[in-house]
Amino acid sequence: MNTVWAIAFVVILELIRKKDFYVLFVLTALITLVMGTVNFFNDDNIVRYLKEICLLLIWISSLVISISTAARQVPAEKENRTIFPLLAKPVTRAQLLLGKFLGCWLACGLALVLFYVFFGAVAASREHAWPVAHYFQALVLHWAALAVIIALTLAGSIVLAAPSSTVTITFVVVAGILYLGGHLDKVALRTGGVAGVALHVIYFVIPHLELFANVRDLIIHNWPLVPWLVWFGALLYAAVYAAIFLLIAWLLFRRKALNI
Amino acid sequence: MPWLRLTALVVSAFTLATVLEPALRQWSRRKAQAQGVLAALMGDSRRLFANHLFVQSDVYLHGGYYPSIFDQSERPPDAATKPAAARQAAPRDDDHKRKDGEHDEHSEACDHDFLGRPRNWIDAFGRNFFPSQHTHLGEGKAGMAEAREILPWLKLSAELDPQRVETYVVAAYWLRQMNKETEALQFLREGLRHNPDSYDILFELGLCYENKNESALARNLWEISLRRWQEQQSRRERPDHLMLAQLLTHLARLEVRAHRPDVAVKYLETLKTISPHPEEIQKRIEEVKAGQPFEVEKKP
Amino acid sequence: MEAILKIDNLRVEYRSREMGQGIKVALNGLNLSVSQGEVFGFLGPNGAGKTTTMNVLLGFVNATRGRACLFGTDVRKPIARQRIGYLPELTYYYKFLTAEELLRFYARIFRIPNPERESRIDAVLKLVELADARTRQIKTYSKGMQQRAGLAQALINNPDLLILDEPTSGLDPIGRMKVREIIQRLRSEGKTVFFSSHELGEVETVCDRVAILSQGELKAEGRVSDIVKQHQCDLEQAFLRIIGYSTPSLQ
Ligand SMILES: Nc1ncnc2c1ncn2[C@@H]1O[C@H](COP(=O)(O)OP(=O)(O)OP(=O)(O)O)[C@@H](O)[C@H]1O
Ligand SMILES: [Mg+2]
Repeated sequence: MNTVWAIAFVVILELIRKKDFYVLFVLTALITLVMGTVNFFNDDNIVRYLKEICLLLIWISSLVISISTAARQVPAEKENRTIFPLLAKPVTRAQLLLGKFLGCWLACGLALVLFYVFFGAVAASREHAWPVAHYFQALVLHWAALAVIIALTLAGSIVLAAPSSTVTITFVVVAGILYLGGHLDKVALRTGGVAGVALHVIYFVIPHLELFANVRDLIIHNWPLVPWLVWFGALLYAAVYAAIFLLIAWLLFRRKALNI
Repeated sequence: MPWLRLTALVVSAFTLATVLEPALRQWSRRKAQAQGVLAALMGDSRRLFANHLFVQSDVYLHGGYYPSIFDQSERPPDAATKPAAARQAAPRDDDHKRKDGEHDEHSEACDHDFLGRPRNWIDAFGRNFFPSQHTHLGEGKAGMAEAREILPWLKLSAELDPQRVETYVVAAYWLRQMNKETEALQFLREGLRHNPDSYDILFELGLCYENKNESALARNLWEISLRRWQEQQSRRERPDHLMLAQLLTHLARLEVRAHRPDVAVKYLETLKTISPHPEEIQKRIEEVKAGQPFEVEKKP
Repeated sequence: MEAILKIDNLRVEYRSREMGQGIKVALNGLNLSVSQGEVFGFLGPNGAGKTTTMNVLLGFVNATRGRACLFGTDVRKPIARQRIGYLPELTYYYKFLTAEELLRFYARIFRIPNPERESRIDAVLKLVELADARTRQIKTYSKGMQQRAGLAQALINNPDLLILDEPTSGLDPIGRMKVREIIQRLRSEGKTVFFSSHELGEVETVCDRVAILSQGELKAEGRVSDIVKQHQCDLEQAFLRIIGYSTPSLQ
């Protein structure tokens, strides 16, 4: 485990030292604040549109950060040949993958905390309330979804050597799931036939990330908390999928010859 | 990092547009150019986007409880082709129905449980993670003030598609509910600038002035509105009778208040010809003739 | 003496990605054994298969046939690598780390406990003369400094066996001398060093034994003095003769 943490730590350090995250954070903050200064019918208490925009930007930023970071980890190790001195040490490939995963995930978690604190401040500036439990639920669910996305990206990055193609494909897949994932079964019913069956299978196989993104609406419109047991169930659900994708990544990576 | 750059580009373009929009707008107004920066940037797709924003205001009215396009297409087809719903191109116009005081029971019932019974465990589980109960803003303890949340989307929608009349009308309705007549008037005038012949906007303007107890202005506007309606609708195969009925009712009531029952009766006689319940109207006419006051809300 | 590094009948084939290229045999029937305390030079022309051999020893490349052991453990098990230090050829390290952080990272992987870790980092940085640059990010290093950082990471766990792939490439004369000194010191501490090199002079001064590889096959193995005696000439000419290169002047 020590090894995994050491590898994870390097990933986090890399993310902190690269500028991507700051750019995204500043952009998110800037757009939100600019939108906040727009005057809508002289009413200073309008807040939900601002929450919506801010959360949307946070989701987009988090996807960009997590996918772009996870996609380049293993290919960059190979490209820069840093994988050779690393694997020459008592490190298994499983540990390497796990460390990379953990590093990306923790780094994204740190970023998310910052983003959500900003979000909370924006909301509180107009609503004068800090529904901390709600934010906590949303943040952890968001983070759990990122775990699945990062694991998926890592698996993708082992199949597709070029990070840019991994990023593109994962982005399309994740966006597809977020927009269509929950409705595929309805589409399947209407389509019918072989295509319908295929859609149904896809519906039951894919990780339903939209569950985690949907929570945004509960936060925006001040709905009550998700029942904690259900919330916990969602975390387990994400954990299972993240584990599956990590396992796939490991199976692909295990026997791969490293010389390029 | 092509993705990062692309996102950054889009995002900064958007920010820039948002920041520059007011300044450029002022500048372009001076040059008598009607086109905003956003409009120029986005071309014709802005109509679609404006529609999206308009729907968004309806989503907000329902506190986020809203059918997706997948749910909507499962609704019975007649719901979308009803005259009331077909008045404008919007997929749903709950706002309008509320404004009109008319309630389309069938379509509302459809929307209340558009989710239906859970289709499978994923669906059932997923319902914990989004608003899954029917609600309206203004029903909570915060009262009508809560409805302010829908306004930004209407404003943005109008920015993108100033030709869309119902945006102004709906926004004005809610602004009136929140006792913001000044803002409503301002917004409606903006709408009128883009749609000088809209009887809808003229009628709504009249309502605002009526609220401000400026009956003379209100009457004036409604009379123009009535003329516009006749110019645009009377020769249609299925004229917008709902609107006409409202216009006539309001005009009649104004005239009753102004102690001009004969003019009021003239309006009511016209109303009788288009009303589904002419006998009710007849009763009204009798009442007016007898010198009794009447309220619009007492409609059947 | 106990064999620390043992290679048995090793064959490695590379399958080309491009269709129709067939397979490339990089190593064929290689047998090698290095015992405790030896400094072993691994020689051969470019493309002979030296790096490939090391890649097999470190588990990066799977053998098509045969096997390799370190400390009596099959190289495919990661534990075989606990007591080795490895310096790859042409390596760049995490550019965004400083030398200090890089070494700390590797030390953590070896589970070197904390107080010892820091003193170890100080010691190896001093040894490779990077102490002044230790808090600078590696991306600001020159090529030779990167090579030194590589040497430092190979030494961080105080390994019993060092596998060095062309350790002196890119170093200035003082750096080369330093590397020779380090190797000699390690030998005096009873460590084993297995390294490849094109610098026959330095091989001659530091190696106990050498192996000469050509086109994936072992052509000669033994003490430098024996090889020189056998061929009746200096090591360079013997090397050329062994790999089958003959110049007019030699005939
Ligand atoms: N990934 C690969 N795919 C195909 N062939 C390869 C691959 N890597 C190495 N080879 C071939 O294997 C042979 C041995 O290469 P290797 O790198 O082991 O040589 P070397 O002895 O280290 O040479 P040098 O002195 O130049 O470092 C070469 O002919 C090389 O072309
Ligand atoms: Mg080599």
